[in-house]
Amino acid sequence: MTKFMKISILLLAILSLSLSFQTVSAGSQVLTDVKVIHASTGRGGTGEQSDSSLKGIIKELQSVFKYTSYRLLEDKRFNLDFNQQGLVNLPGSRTLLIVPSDTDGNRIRYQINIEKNYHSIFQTQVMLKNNSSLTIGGPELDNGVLLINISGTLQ
Amino acid sequence: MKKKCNRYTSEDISRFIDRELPLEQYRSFKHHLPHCRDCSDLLNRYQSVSFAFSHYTDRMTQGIRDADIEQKLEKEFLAFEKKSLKDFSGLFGKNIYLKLASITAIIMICLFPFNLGLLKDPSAGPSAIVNSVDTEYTSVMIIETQKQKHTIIWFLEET
Repeated sequence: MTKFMKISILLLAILSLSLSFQTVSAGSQVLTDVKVIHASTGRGGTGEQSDSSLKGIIKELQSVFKYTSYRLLEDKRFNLDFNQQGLVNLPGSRTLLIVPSDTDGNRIRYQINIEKNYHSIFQTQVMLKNNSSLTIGGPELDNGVLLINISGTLQ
Repeated sequence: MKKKCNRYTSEDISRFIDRELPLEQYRSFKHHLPHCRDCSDLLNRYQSVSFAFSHYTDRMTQGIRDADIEQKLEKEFLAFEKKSLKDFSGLFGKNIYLKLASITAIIMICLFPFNLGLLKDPSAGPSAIVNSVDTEYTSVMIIETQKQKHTIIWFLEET
């Protein structure tokens, strides 16, 4: 066997090992952050009644919605294993159930379920980009709407 | 070979045949030859040996045909050419750049089925890809913001 062949095989072996190690080690847990936000057309206008911890999200939401006030009602963090359920109580007898099921490349597959009075009203399956977030909104709440911002990070 | 004449040595005679004697000595020996039987005999012997040798070498060289030489040279040239080609194509010979390029190509090919995600731009695409939505309400919107491509799922709760 030539020297070239030996080097190639050695490199391939190292590469295969590192890739398989990466697949195993790439996030055995998922840090999931759920922010419950109340959005309304408040009297204070933009910024005055908006929570400072929501700065990044608000900019994006304001590019789509007309709401001027964004108030953080709850911020819950979970360190979830795959297929482990996280639960967040929402206003108006609603509950959010969130389960990270697996990963696909740089994305985390989440199963999200919203219940109202123990009855499922909304279910979705999303592929969330690692270190990124999505927002689910719509349910009416106190002259405004309820927004749920979910972010996920592979640990 | 012994000779009685002491005026010229056998070496002088040999040099005379090869025309290596100084001109004066050459002339002197030439003048001496008709008067000396010993030197003359030795000269004849040397000349006959020299003639026999040159005749033999001429015959030998005449025996080699030009076509044979040409064929032999052609054969050797082809063998050399074949060896050079083998050095180049046989696992890329000694060309280090070709070796590196081929190793890179092998790695790239192997990466493809293993993990395509490594080659993709991680910042590309929306923040979330919505695979499915199941709700008892009819109004569901999926919005993507322009700047950060933040995904928003919007549903209207009917009362």
